[in-house]
Amino acid sequence: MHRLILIAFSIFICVGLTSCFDLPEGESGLGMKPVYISPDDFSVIYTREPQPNVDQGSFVSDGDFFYINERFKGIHVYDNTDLNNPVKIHFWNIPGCSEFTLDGELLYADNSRHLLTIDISDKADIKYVSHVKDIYTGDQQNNNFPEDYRGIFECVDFENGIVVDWEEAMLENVDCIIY
Amino acid sequence: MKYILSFFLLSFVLVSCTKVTEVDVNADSAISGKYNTIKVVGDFIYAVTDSELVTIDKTDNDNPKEIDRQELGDRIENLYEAENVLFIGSETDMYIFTLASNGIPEMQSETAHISFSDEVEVCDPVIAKNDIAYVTLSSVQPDNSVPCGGIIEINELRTYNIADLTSPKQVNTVDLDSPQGLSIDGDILFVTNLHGNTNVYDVNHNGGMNLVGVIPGGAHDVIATDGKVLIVSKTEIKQYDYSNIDNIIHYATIKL
Repeated sequence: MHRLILIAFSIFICVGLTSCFDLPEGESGLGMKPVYISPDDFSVIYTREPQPNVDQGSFVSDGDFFYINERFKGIHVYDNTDLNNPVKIHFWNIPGCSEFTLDGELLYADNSRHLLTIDISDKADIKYVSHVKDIYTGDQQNNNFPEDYRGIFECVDFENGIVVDWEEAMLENVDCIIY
Repeated sequence: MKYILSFFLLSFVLVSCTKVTEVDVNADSAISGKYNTIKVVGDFIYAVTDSELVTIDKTDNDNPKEIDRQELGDRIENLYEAENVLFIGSETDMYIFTLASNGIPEMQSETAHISFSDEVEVCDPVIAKNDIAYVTLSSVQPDNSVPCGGIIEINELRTYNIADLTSPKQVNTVDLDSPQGLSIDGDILFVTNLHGNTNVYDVNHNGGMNLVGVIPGGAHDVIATDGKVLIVSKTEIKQYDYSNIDNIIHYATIKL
């Protein structure tokens, strides 16, 4: 009996407090939610077949090759040996990547959190070498809202990992919106 | 709903001006376009975050280590290196650092783009050569026509004499449409305009610039090296040969 009263009392207190603090009601409905991966999973770094250019970022030229970042996805590799006909030959899959530079046979790139060293001596088979932890901790380096989008979305919680994509979903009680 | 305002502001800031410009004059290393923020100098990697300059010792590539982190102003956009001097552009300032023998950057100067107002926040890539720093300031951002932030609109190319790194002196200003990326090769400077054309200048070592060519079409980034130039827009990459500056030859246009 005491327990029942306690529960009832708790409910009463919760409801009371909620109204007292006037907590906002989150919005619900169709929106976007982040797709997370772990910043510490380096098995996702590899060479794959050329991918479509969707959202390009940084751009680097090095000898007969040039490289264009696909924001938060990786790097397009172009063979520019024939100036009249540059050919996209590979895609370096580096989820979270928006910053990079090349130094000989090494690539230094971010994954939104760490700075990675990647061996690119064989462009067709790149290999993760090492990383420096937590170089990027500010908001700028993270994919923290869906681009070209207006509407509600699930707020990014960096504790969940790095955001590599956004997907449409039915959302409940989300606190983020872009007008 | 508590995040609405902050996200609105945040998205404005992020969408507006997180882009960067630079070109590397070191012939051995890769040449970067204006969005890049990581530089390798000797055994060290320098990276700018949104508000910091970070130094990493990569003597052992299997075990690189962060050795220094300096807080700068917010909204840093670009890191450029020439002859062991780092240039950093933010939306409000140009920072110049020299590098100590242990790799740690030492600030020499911080130059505000506008001395009489804090209200200017522009996209402001910076590159440098022969004691001259080139800075493009643009209130036009790459994705649409929303200003880069701030109240006063500025769209110009500036040159600063940096013979004294502790005291850059503005020496020249050219009004442009919507300047974005810039790249220098020898005495030839390319400046793209987002909504205009790419201007080609013959520069002298006093900060003077002579317009010697115009490559049609808007673009946001450019890399010029060894007589060939790559010009990038959201929809295409164009490639030209400028080894004869009086006769710039179009090689290829790749649709993205």
